[in-house]
Amino acid sequence: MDQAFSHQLVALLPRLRRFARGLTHGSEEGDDLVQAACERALARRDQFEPGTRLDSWMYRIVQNIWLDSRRRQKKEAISLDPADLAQHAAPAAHAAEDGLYLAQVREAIATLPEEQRTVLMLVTVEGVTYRDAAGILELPLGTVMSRLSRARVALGHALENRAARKSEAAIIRIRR
Amino acid sequence: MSDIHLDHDQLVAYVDGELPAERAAAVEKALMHDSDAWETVRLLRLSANAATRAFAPVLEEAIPQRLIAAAGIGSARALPRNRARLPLALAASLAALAIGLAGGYALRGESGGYVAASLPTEDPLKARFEAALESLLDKGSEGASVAYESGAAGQGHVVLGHAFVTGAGRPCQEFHRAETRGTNHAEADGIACRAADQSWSVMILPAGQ
Repeated sequence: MDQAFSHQLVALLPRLRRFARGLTHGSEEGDDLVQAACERALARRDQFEPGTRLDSWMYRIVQNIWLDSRRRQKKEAISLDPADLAQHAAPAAHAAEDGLYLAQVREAIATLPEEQRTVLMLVTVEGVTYRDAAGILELPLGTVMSRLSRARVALGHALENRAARKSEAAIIRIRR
Repeated sequence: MSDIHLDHDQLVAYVDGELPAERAAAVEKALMHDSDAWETVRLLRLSANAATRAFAPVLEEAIPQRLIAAAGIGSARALPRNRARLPLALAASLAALAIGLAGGYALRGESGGYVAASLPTEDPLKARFEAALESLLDKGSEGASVAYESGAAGQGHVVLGHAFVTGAGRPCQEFHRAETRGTNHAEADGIACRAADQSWSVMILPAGQ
């Protein structure tokens, strides 16, 4: 029973890491968050209702721990560690240009307001339905939709502007 | 029905397939006459695609050992601690390997594909398992682990056990697999041995105790 729970948890780790990576914008912080969430899940596993979705339960734990740590962090200065940004460099498996673009996408997502970013990660990246996301985040459905639409439109504009700047730069280079 | 209001919330739900069919049809119809809304739909699609792709590589990363430990699985617990405790069945299976891999199959890295000796690979979860196992065998050492999943089909993880050399001089490695398909959870031990051409021969051992 205990082992089965742990194994299900381990099987969720790739998705939990992806979600946490988007929230924290850092792979070390993301993994710290997932680790804390796993520890909390094990400690409170009797609170998990069998037959309900473990992934939803885990997303909620990750989100709650993240919110708590953000509240604490806000009192301290937030600093960006350059070493951490370096970890966002393109994964070796991807073509350099593609990887660069995707790194820019992650940067753009990182600049979104916290609550929009959370909904974007949960719904668009993790593929959670609007209804499930509303349950996980304990928000009305309408709030999930409005945060999501704002995040997606803002991200769309940011990526378009980037693309526009890039083609302008290309034109300038050709003219020289 | 044409006076439907195309606000951003409606449009994002439309793009994400979250609207009921008749509502989606109404939005689609209204979009024909609204170029601003079309532009928004384009941005909503662009951002969805970009966000999904931007984080997809995370799923391919090896899972840090500390997270697996935090989830309550120690490689020490999942695997026999020393070779003396290996079940006798392993010796018999090694013989089967030498004879010709009954029930096993070969992984070939160079081509990026997997050559199935006796098992079909249209099972997507199995294909992910093989890819995960192969990368782990190529890079990992004892205790290293990797998780894999295939959408609705299920998910699992593999942990490497001891490395050893057969009497015939082939380098081999034990592994442990835990896999969940729907509500079914199954655990299995296996061994993989490297051939001279660097491909891996894999055998999943029948359930032990």
